[in-house]
Amino acid sequence: MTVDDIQQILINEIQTLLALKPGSVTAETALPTLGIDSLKFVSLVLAIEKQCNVHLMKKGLKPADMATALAMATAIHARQAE
Amino acid sequence: MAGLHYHARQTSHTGSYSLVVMELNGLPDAAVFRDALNQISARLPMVHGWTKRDFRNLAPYWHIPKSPGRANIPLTIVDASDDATADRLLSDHVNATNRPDREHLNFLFVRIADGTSRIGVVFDHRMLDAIGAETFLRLIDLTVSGQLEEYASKVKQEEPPHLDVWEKQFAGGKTVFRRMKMIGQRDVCAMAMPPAGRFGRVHFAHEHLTTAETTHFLETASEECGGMPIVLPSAAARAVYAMRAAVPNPPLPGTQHTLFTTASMRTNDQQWEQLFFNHFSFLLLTVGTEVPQSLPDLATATRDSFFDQMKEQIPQSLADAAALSRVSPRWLNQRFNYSMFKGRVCSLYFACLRDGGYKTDTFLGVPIANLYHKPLAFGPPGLNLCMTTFGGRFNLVLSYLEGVMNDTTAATLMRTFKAALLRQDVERHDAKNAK
Repeated sequence: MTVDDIQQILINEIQTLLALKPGSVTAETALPTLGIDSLKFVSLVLAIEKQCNVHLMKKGLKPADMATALAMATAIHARQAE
Repeated sequence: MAGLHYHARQTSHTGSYSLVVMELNGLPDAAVFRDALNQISARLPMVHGWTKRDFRNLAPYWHIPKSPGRANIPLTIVDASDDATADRLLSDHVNATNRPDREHLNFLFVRIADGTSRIGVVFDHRMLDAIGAETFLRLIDLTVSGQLEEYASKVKQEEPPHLDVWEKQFAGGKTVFRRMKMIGQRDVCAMAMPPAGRFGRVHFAHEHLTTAETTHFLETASEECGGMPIVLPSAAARAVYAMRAAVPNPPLPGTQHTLFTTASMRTNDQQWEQLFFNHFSFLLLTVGTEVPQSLPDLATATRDSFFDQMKEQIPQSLADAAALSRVSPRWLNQRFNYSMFKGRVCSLYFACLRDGGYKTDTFLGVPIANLYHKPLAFGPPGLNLCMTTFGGRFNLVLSYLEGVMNDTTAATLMRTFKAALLRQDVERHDAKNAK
């Protein structure tokens, strides 16, 4: 799975979770501005874990990893390789 | 929510009513305020509606009158000499008994001698939730600026009867039942309730964090959840910490603390569509008494409980199961819930809301100093700890039923909770415990 694949999964999941129109989230959208609360964020992590076969809750993420969908996809890709 | 109202009526003397308080650095024009309420009342007659049950399909629904008639949203204006008097008046306002069943909003405008004021809105949880109540206040402000139609036209005044997708609802019920059964295997530490029929007033203890303190806590919470922007488990861990410290030997001892925690089911861009009705579900976070009284240990335990329940999709399952239970008699639901937890239900109701419905800093042109909630507290356990946000800072309010907890214990709980959020004194206490 490439970074682009993960990024696309992330964008789709975020749009679904926040009931946003397709195309409203891009690779460069600042994720903290979207108002993702604790519950939605965990739902996002669970969806990513399922689709990307990675244990994010155990391995964790850094705050900088959640700046954009691209940054998050890159971090998830790195965790997959660990 | 009609079920909640029924239960709250049985176990407190008020019902399912909460108070949202707005502290203002000035005096808004009372006539303009009254006029705005009248306009909303005429445009959205559902604020004068009531619950009915359709006996053909057993579905309860919200009956909307064709017009408000002569009904007005009550607004009382009173004067107070100081802040303490204003607090007492607001507390009396939400503790009013024998509220008419069709009254879902009641405003108290307190003019304080120093030129400031407070607006207290008692709202009925059958019609509004906490975010909805804040959004309603925003609607008043928008009405005064001539934007009522623009926003009121977005508001949904109807909810589907939820008498479909039965399989999904039964599956949700099964998931929730399994989880409740698991939790019910261990006794819940709880406060003793006053004898039936002797329920007194709801009292409140209020603290707040500064903007810097709030930021500090959010960073700590994120660290505790592996860098992820998740606050709820860390906040809940501190609530358990404070509860254990304030009540080391609970009158009803057990082997776990259980927090009935609100989980928002709102979608971000539908603040106006979802103004009315309740859009919250719950999580049942548990922490065993064997978990040491240290913040890192408690945070780990609440985080694991939170992740487990999110994996099981408990909030959605509970929402589905609740839709199913709407058709069953309320007394039966109440008995079922009691029997699952041997009459204790939980140690504490807990809410941590990072997002509010009022996002500007003025009301009717007057600057807002603060906005917070004094939520309902019904039994068991007669305790509700609520964290809400306004202006980038957390307000912390403990609601407790008379006879469940005394004022000194409530003050200790709040002081410990605030210190735990800031990690003040707590690390020293943890080190002492470790020795």
